[in-house]
Amino acid sequence: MKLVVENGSYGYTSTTLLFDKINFSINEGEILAILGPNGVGKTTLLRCITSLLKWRSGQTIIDDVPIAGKNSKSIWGKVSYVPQSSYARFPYTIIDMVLLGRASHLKVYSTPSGKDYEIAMHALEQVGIAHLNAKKCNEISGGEYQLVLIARALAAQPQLLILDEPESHLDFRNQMLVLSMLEKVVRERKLSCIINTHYPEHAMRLADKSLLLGYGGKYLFGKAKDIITMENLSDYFGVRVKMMPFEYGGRILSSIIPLELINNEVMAK
Amino acid sequence: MNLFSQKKSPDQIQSEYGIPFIIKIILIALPIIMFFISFCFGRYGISPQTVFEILWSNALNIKGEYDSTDASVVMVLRFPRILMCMLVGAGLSMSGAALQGMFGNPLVSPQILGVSAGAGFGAALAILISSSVFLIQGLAILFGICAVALTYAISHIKGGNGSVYMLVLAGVITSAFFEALISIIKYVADPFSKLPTITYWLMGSMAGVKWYDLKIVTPIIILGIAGLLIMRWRLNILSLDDDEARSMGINIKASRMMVIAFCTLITAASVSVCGIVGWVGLVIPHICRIIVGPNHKNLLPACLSVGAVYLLMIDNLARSLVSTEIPLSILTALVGAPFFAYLLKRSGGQWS
Repeated sequence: MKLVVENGSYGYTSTTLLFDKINFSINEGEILAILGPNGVGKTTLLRCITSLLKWRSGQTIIDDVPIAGKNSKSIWGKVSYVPQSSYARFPYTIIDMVLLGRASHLKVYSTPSGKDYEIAMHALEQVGIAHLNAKKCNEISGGEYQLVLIARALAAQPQLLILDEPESHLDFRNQMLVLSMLEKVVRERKLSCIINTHYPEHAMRLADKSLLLGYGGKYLFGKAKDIITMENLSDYFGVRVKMMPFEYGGRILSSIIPLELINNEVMAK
Repeated sequence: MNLFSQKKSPDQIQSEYGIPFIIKIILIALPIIMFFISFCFGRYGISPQTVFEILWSNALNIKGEYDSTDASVVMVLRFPRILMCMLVGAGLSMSGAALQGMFGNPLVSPQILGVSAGAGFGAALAILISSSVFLIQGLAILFGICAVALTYAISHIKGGNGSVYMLVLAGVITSAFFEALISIIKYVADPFSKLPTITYWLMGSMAGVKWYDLKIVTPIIILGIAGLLIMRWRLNILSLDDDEARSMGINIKASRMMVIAFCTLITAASVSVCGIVGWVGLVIPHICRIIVGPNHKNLLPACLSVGAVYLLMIDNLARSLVSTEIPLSILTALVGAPFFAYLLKRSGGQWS
């Protein structure tokens, strides 16, 4: 599925815009990583793309059709959103949690059928945690819970997967677990994928394209390897950065090390 | 790879995650047994055989050999009362479970949106100006609905977006307002005739329930119960964060409004007949979560059963413990509060 954002503008007040006529797009099977400092509006951007928030101007176009005005069910039948991990208020079992992803495919007042259970189980298998299906959400690790949320998104059988910092609060191992599972399912299902992340290394590793957001509405969009450079990161994060690329497993990875603040003052938003 | 689905059919998988068979049987059998046993309780003792004979011959419309006083106690006094207890107990418990789920808060009960205070005011007002049962029920239901409408409106005033926090705060405002109005009515009511009636009535009692009381409220409560049952799986989604819930592709605003509407109908109709019965809607959902887990698809049917049984038990106590009837709210709190404390000790404050 192809997603285009055309001249998207948004600000919580009309005078200060977080994004001003932003343009970017992804094609079928591509992964887009969105990078940017805290408070720059990464989550807000995802909410605008998916019409959880309304653009002040501009639009999101999915497969050549603007989504403004379409009913939410038809959008969420194609797009799945994994919000920043917040623990479920109730300790639902994993399978119950994943089944919720089926809602956009169910009639307004029906409950999931055997077929839905099968789809949910398949999603759990794909992210490698089918064996946890009967556990409760509060009995598993943060990494596993993130995989549950991804499985829930997959259970909706989307064409576009949108994730908001899926790996932020996880340790090394769980970050690798989530990222590799994510990459696997995205490639296997030929999904398009948009991911917010705080880690340029992860963007380098996963993404085909990258969107770098800065304060005051400035942004850069293009191929990940063209966008994630020492100059751009230094410029957008206000931190002098050293990148050291190396080859591993047939692809170019890079270690990215922040060296020092460029201005010793707190950056103005 | 696909081990799971090869071994079992989808229907088998589905049934594995439902309520276990034995618990299901108990949840169905218990209210039925309780229903029959309850006819025997009261200051006027009637043996189970007599009860059975009376019910049997009335059901088949044949003449049986029993005392006519026994018959009228069973058919006129206890039968409508028992039905009412089951309806109210089931309804309030399910409303409590639905609202606790929607608000994601264990302290929520059906009173949260101001419906009880509103309905209580309507009833008190009706008692003050007349003693017509129809007026009491009508005004109670009317003001119960008005109170929730007010709560809903306040939660949407400038800047408010009808989020659950706004709803809770608005409910607090509405409740305080209507409770003050109730106080005014008590203050001006005749202290020798009207005031005791109002006070006693607000404490909740099934004592006066007659067949014609059931006519108006039964369809309303059943409608509410059916509505909540239909929406029970969606409640799981409503219990998520706003964005998360919306990204499941459902219209959360409309769904929320429907849950509120069903709970309001149930609670207002209950208050209109038997006054304010506290604690049932708070405690029963917690008990049921321990039995069947937090999934609302299983939780609501369990609340239906356990709530009905619980209020029947309480009412049986209310009419047999001492020579005068004990108001229901006193018993539900006296039994419910220690039990709730015990639950907290067991769960450490976690959701089951």
